[in-house]
Amino acid sequence: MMTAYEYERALNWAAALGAPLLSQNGVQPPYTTASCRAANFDSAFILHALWNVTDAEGVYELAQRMWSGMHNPSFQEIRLALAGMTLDQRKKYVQSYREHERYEELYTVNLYMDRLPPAGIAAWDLGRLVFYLRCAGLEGYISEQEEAALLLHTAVRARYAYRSWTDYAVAYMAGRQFWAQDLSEEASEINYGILCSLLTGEQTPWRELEWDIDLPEPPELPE
Amino acid sequence: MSVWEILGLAPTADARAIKRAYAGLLKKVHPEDDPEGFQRLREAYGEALELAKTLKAEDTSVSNPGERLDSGASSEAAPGTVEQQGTEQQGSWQEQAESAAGMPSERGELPSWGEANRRMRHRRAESSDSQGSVDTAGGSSDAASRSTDSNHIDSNRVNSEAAKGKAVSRGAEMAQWMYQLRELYADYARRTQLEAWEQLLGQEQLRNLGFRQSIQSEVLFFLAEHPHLPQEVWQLLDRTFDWTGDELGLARRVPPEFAAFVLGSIRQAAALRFGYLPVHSGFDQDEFLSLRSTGAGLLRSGELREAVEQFDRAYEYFSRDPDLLRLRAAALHLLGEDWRAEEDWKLLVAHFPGERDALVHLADRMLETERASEALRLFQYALDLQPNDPQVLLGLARCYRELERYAEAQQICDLALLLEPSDIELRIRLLDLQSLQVQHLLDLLKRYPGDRDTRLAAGELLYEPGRDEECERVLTEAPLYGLTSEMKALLGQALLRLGREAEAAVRFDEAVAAAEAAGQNGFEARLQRGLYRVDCESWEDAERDLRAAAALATGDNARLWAGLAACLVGLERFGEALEPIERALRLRPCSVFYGTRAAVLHGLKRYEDAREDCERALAYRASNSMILTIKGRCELRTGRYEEAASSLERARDLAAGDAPQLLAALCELYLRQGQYREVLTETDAYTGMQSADDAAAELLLYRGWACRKLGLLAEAREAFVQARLLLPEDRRVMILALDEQFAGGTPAGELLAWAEQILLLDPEDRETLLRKLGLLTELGRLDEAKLTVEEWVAKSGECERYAPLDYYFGVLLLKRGDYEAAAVRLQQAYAAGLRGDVTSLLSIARFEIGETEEALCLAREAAMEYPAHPDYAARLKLMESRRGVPGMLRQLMRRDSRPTAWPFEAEPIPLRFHPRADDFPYDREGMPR
Repeated sequence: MMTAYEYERALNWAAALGAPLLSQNGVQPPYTTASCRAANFDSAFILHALWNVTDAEGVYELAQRMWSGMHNPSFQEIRLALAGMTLDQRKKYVQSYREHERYEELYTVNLYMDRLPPAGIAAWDLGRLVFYLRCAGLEGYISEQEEAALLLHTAVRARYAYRSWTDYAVAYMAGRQFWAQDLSEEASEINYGILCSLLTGEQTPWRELEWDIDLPEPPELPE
Repeated sequence: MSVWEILGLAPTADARAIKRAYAGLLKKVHPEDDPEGFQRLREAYGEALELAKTLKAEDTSVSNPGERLDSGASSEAAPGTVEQQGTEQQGSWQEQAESAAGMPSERGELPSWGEANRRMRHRRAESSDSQGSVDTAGGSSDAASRSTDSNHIDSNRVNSEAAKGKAVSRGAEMAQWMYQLRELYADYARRTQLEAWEQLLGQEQLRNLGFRQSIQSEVLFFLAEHPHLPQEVWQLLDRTFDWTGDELGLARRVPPEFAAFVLGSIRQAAALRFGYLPVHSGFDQDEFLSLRSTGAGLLRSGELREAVEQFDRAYEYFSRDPDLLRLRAAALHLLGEDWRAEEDWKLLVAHFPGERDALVHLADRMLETERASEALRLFQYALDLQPNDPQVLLGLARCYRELERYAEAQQICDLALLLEPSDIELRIRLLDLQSLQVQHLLDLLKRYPGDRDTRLAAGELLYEPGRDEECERVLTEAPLYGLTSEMKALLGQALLRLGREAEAAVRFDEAVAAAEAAGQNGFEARLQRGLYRVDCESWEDAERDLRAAAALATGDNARLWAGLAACLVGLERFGEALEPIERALRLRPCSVFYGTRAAVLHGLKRYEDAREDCERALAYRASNSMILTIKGRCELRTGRYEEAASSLERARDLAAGDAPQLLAALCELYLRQGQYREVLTETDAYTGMQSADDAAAELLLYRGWACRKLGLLAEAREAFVQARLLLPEDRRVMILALDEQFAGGTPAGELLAWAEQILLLDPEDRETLLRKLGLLTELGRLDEAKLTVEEWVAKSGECERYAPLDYYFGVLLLKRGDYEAAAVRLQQAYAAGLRGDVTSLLSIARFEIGETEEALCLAREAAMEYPAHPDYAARLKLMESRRGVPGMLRQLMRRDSRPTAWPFEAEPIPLRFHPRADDFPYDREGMPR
């Protein structure tokens, strides 16, 4: 049986999955609802403008979509298309698409496909979902219990997909690059800047909460 | 001729389409007129229906069959389908990759057409058997029998014996050639040799277009059943039959699915090798290749488990094919079964040492399973095969890290990052390495706290990822040993990031002083202090530091040049700023530097270029209000008002407050768009402001112009005068204020000193000189006015061309009583378009020299134009009352002894010009003078 302290830590661990977006929006660790509220970002606008989410039903739908994968399926599709090729064939194939509008996507997959676990860039979808769940909680679209349940479901998925915070970070940023279709050095530096303090800061959840933390069995979700 | 060609259809499973085509042709081919043609058509109809059944049955066994067959149901639809697959590169990546790999999208299986043909032939053979006819046995003779059938049909079509003989001869040739093709395919060792195919396809008869066209269908038919050929052979076939050059033609000959297969086989990106298989007859190469190929297709479609099953079956046939091992390992890796994949990678490495993929994957696997030394050896070997491969370099670095060889790991990561700057994992691993190195250095410092080099190195490693508090702690925790200049500069940087600016400034000063005292280079100290001063907008000081740093620099430093350029922008020395910022961009093209260059180009009025740079900068700094403002200003100057409005409004939303520069740009936009009231609203806060900067004065000028446009002349005057108070030395502001007051009737005494002040700054300013003349005239200081005019004329000789000067000349001559000369001058001013006083005074001059009627006309014109002017009406009245006095008598009456009766009261009011137009921003508005 998990103690209240352990449960709290597990929730903080789940929230830490959204650390890149949360910290970009000015939220301080451990990314609790209170610290999200203190950051004073426009959570309703974010949910509505990006996902057209304005109620609990929308939040659950969004969670299902993110768990199924938003950008990860495209990534995996390309990964499979390239999987049968040798490294040289892949390189040549990617170069043949240099003038194609989706060249950056292809390039990104080729760059990371051998280094990512089978889950691919699921971290990118899951990490964003955590941020949106916090937004939904702030707006009162879902109750505290619902938010915790959805966070834990997300946490379990992330936990079994990756082996460490560093692996998670790599997959998250690979996903971000895949989405942004930007391979420039500067974009890479900006992405790196987002991760830097999370990975190295003295008191960040990614350093304080070990990856292999005990997670509770997530409660069943409503049909 | 194939059944489809006889029916004029693309191969299809749609029986209705076949019936329609048959019915249409029946109207044209009558059994009595053309019994053979009729027979041929009937046979074709029967065969087509049977073939359609087979195709349909086959297609329903695979996923989503209806769409595929429907797409090929008509001859119009088929080409479009193929073209889309072959050239447009639309749809999913999987579809594209499958197309490129030569596979239809149905689970990677080989095309169904070949199988359909096999079944069809089988049914026909059974039918023939039942009729007692003899058929040749075995697959290899099928095509020959088809060929014979085809010849039979062709021979029926010709009527003459000669033509019949020719067709039979062509048929024999084709049969012979097809026989050679089958023989070549059947011999696996020869099948994989390109030379053998070159020999076959280079035969004389294939140069004949007719033969080539006839044999093409046979070849395609054969390939549908025998598709396992190396890519080079497919490409050679394509060079002969030009399938890629005529995709539509291909699609008309064969089902679209098979056409796609052919094109994909020619273009495949993931070609598999054929050269490793046993060639002896006891080994069924085609079965192995079919399993391998099917497995590859399943891998592409994500059916990993099924793919592995196919590979396992192929492995049972033959276990030393490198492509099979590689593909199976790839599928197992994607399934997360690396322990199984490892076996395949090991086999590959053992038997095919040149297989770089296997080396890399196996090394990765070993690294992840704590076998770093073995992994290192493999990575090194892989690097020998392909030097500077970033992926291998990263692996190597990770090995060194695991082996605690941090310095080497860092060096290799740095190199890999140079080769692959977009690789975020490299950066993250580097970060990881840095953390380890820091820990190592901190341990060293515990033992040797006086080692300042180590302390500086630790500080730098902590500062880079933003661990500023730790950086400060490391640098300051051992004061006993003192700080070097570089350590102080670094401390200043850390403090700055911690928001402790005052302390940082002190540290930067100390850093420079320490370097000077120690006789050291001091580059870093100067550079950091200079950059800090740029942030503080202490432009002159910053420039001094940065120029000193540039002189001390041993290499190029992008930040240094960009900082210097920023200083020069701050000092409005845009021309000088261009070179350093371009130098910085050459060294490191990044958005911040593009932003600085945008400011430089904007200052140089190269608005289009500046706007482009703004776009580049905003790509990564979309929320930078300053860059948005520059962009807005560039758009403003290039007439893109809507875009300017959008940029400036966004800048305003993002800015903490309304910066005067931003407001000035907005006001300029409003002025250009005629939104004068908005200008007044925006600038309300600036009226009555005592101390402000240039931008505030600019805002007041805009306010003045807006007021002028709205006819609020008193307010305009007030705004301009206030602007002059803010910028008392600014000539442009002085001119605007003078002009407005001059036009507005401010007493001459107040304005004369202003005019003289402006003329001191620019003696050539003739507009101001004219106003000075007017003021002198108004004040009755005619001698000074005369002197001024004469000086001007002597200097420039311009009076003939300048109407206002003619007016002043005329006035002076009139005052002197030289009416004839006055009339000439005033006439010139009148001819140039000046009216009012010019007209009235000219009438006096004319009247005095006896041109009475002309004078009266002019006097009436002046009185009518300005009926409220008391002098004009009085002069007209006087002239009309004295028009009868002869000219000679008028001269007598003008004597000094009778001053009150004559001359006219001619106290001219100087011309009060409208304010002159300024170059900016009103050049577009066409403000009336």
